[in-house]
Amino acid sequence: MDNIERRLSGALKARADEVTDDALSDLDLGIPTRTPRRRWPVVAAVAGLAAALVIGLALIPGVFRSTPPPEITSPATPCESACHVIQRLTVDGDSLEVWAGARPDAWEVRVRGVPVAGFQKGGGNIVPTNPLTCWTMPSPARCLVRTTGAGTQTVWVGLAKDNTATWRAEGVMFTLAEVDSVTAIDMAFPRDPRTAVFTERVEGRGWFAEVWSWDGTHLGCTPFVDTREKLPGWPDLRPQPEDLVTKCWT
Amino acid sequence: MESDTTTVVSSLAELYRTHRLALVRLAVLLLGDQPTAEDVVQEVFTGLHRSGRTDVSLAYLRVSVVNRSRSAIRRTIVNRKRPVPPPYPPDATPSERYELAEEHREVLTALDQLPRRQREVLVLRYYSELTYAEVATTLGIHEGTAKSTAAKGLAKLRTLMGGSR
Repeated sequence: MDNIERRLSGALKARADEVTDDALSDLDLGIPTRTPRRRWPVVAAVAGLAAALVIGLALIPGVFRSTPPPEITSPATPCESACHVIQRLTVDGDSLEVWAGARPDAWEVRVRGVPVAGFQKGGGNIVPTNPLTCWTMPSPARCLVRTTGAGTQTVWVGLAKDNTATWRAEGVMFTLAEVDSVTAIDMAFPRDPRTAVFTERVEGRGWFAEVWSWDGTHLGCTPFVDTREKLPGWPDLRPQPEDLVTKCWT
Repeated sequence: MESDTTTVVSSLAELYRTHRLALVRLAVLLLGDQPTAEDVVQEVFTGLHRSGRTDVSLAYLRVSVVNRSRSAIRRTIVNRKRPVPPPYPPDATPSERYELAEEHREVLTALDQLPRRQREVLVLRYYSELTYAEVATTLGIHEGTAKSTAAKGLAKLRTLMGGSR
């Protein structure tokens, strides 16, 4: 151990020793999640949402843009007439409902009855049965809405609960039509640690994992492997930036 | 069912009592302030309670604290608290106390300027005293990446602190 290492070790231990056991509170399981002491201003959250949607739609790699992406409707826009619930989930204490209209490509997600996101006549992308997949871990709670297109892609809309306990649409992600599995993971990416990792397969080429940031930024894919067990960390996929190539399929 | 729930809560409370000090200290070093660090550790156990899991190791808890600390950093405003001077040894002279506080402050301030990944690797290596293989497992990275990240972090510390004394 050299001098810098000794100094670092000493400083870390001294700082850690400031925390004493008698000053720590007891375990409190009665409160599901404790209120963060500092919050993003509401205005920033709204502005962030708008920016995330714009960036998400702008940064979609061309390889996946076989059809123009449908627009996320504003939260105030209801689905078409004859709306009906096709899925209802309770996530982190909130009731999330997917409503579809007379046309299956017009749909929206409502939380406690308030529209959060949806496609209005989404360019052929329709919501299948049970389109919502949600996670409460890692925090904050988040969901993906899966919509299937007429072409070779699946469009996913990322929803997440923000620091004001409000659900918001954050970004749009694109994958191949056939996705084997998807997981939500916080990873060490510079823009946004909240990522969705999709496991996909191309006939004749093999398996790969594709990573999207929750704000709709495409982060890359792993190279093809012949079995999914060879994907990094399988079955708990945790690809790191160095595992990814920016251009998929090449 | 009720007794199952009681058993889970009781097991988690015991697990918490056993590991809370080490976990909060780790979170303090990653986050910079104790209230948020305590929240992070509480959230880890709340998550275990939700999932009904009690059979977890310290290594699992450490991974959870690192991941939740990242989320906490993301949630909070970027201008994190500067590290506070560490306490003095009880037998230190006034002069020694001053020099030691300054020494630790300099190191922690420099550490705070490193990229998050480098800070995490150095804290796990030089505070938690994990091997590089354990650091890699905790952060979900390759062992070689853990080593190279530590080397870069130490080099940056040397630069920030004006070279080794």
